[in-house]
Amino acid sequence: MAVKKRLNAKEKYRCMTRDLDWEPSYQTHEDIYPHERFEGIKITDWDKWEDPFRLTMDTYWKYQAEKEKKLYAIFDAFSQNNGHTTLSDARYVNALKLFLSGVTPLEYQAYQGFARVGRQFSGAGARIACQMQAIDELRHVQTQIHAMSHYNKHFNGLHDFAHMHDRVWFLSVPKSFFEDARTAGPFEFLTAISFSFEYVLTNLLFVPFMSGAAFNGDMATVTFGFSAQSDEARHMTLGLEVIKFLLEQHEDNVPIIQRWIDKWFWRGYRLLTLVGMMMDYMLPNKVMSWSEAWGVYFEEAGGALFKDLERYGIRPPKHVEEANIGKDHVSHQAWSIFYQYSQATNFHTWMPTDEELDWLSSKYPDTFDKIYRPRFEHWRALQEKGERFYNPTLPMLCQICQIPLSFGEPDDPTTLSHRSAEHEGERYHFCSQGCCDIFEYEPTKYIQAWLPVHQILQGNCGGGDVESVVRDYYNINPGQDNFEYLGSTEHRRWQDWHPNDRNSAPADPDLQKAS
Amino acid sequence: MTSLVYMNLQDTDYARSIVDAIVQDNPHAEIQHQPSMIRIEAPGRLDIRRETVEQLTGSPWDIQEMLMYVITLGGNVEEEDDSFSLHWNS
Repeated sequence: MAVKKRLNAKEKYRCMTRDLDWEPSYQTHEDIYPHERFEGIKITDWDKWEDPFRLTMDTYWKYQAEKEKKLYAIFDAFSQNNGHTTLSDARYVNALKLFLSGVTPLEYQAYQGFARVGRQFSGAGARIACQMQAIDELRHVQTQIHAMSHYNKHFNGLHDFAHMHDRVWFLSVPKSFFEDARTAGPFEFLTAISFSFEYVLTNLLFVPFMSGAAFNGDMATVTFGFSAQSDEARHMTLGLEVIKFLLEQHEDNVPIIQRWIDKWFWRGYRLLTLVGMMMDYMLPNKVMSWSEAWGVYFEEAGGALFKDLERYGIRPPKHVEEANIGKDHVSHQAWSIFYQYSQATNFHTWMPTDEELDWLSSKYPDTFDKIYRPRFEHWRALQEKGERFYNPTLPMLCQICQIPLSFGEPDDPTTLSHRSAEHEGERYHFCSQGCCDIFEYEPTKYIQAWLPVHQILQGNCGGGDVESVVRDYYNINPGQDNFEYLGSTEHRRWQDWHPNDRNSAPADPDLQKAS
Repeated sequence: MTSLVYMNLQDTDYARSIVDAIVQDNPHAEIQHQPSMIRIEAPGRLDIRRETVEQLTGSPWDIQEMLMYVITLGGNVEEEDDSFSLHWNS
């Protein structure tokens, strides 16, 4: 009698995924999957879809359960041992405030996006992969909220992140990025999120920044970060497989995909400006500079990737040279924006210490001393005189990325980069040629952008002054959550916890105040 | 120049056995220690073999358990019952 062999991984995957699919008998494919065609993508054979991780649902639950157990054991240990008191410095927590209000809601949007596209593909392999990713993303939202709930007990600005995500001016940058992707068709969504974002760019957030969290004593964040990344390795692989699959299906797909790669590379690059600033300015113990991280995770890794895709007729994204120049500028430009507008943020900002300025000078030899250091030293001098600088005007926002116009021209960092385009008698403004190109291809989509500054000026965000918008519309507690770090209640509380700190001079509340 | 494939693993006791197995099977790989993670880079290709990991740990290992420890990777993935590989086609 022949003994039946155990199924190997490939056979098991086939039996437990594709074999569970069926041919519809009384409805047409077109009616069941109505979103599959309108983007112009041609799929000739869904069976060519390869899922490199042959993960079946039973194995998926087993590993995910194990990840959760490990993660929550560490959360418990962290809070039982008052882990927040052994961080490198309380300034670090401000990066977490940005993370919780800016990134965690994106995980939720990713969940919504993958749940939708997982419904819209007629290929079973793609549906299963998107379904698992949707569940992963929901897990990331939950674990991040749980991790941050401990910090919320001891620090300001973390109390209403979902509300803030929907309303606060700078949070419209990440929010509108994901909404742009989610309102696109299913194939553009996958190119945007699975490929351009997950494969090409998210490493820059979740790998060096999380390693930095560990280096700053934040056991909870590094653990949820790496637990999320263990799912991300699957998502990245999905991203690469999606692109290869679409390119192999039909040559007519190539120009469509190329245009999406161009668009979503630039969208993602602009979004990551915030991460650049977190790495260079908000981690008191430094791991690597933003410029170095860009070199390793984009120039090197992305270079290898685009070389691999060359044989399909895909070239590196448009404006990539500008992005590579920008690596030495954007973190400093972003920190300058947030320093000036700290009255309207749910986190604190500060000027770097001498030691930190020297570190920045050494990491950015071609740009920092020449352009940014003098500005920061000027602001610090003002602050020491009791005239801490807050910008009293509202900034002009880019119609696409929604970041205030404050980037320099790629070939001249001392000239403001500003483009504009006319559409049906109205003029729209952009921070860069990359964002302007995106608008010009789909103006009717982007004229609908909800630009926070326009909305404030139109009276759609409550009161007539910044303070009442911040307090009543954003639910940021003035004087607690916002303004300068030095002299803040949080700074003073940290000093109470660490009376023997080398920087133990009592925090002077006057340092916070504008003249 | 051959492109680098790479993989970052969490710096945990178990993952260290996987790294040891990788070093044994891929003499061309370079190992970098960074805060809380280990990065493995190799020109062109990287293979992880189930047998080598099992020899080092002395216990049975399912190749998919690797998904517990991977932080990120770069390259085309080939997953088989007994091995996990990364490679670039270019």
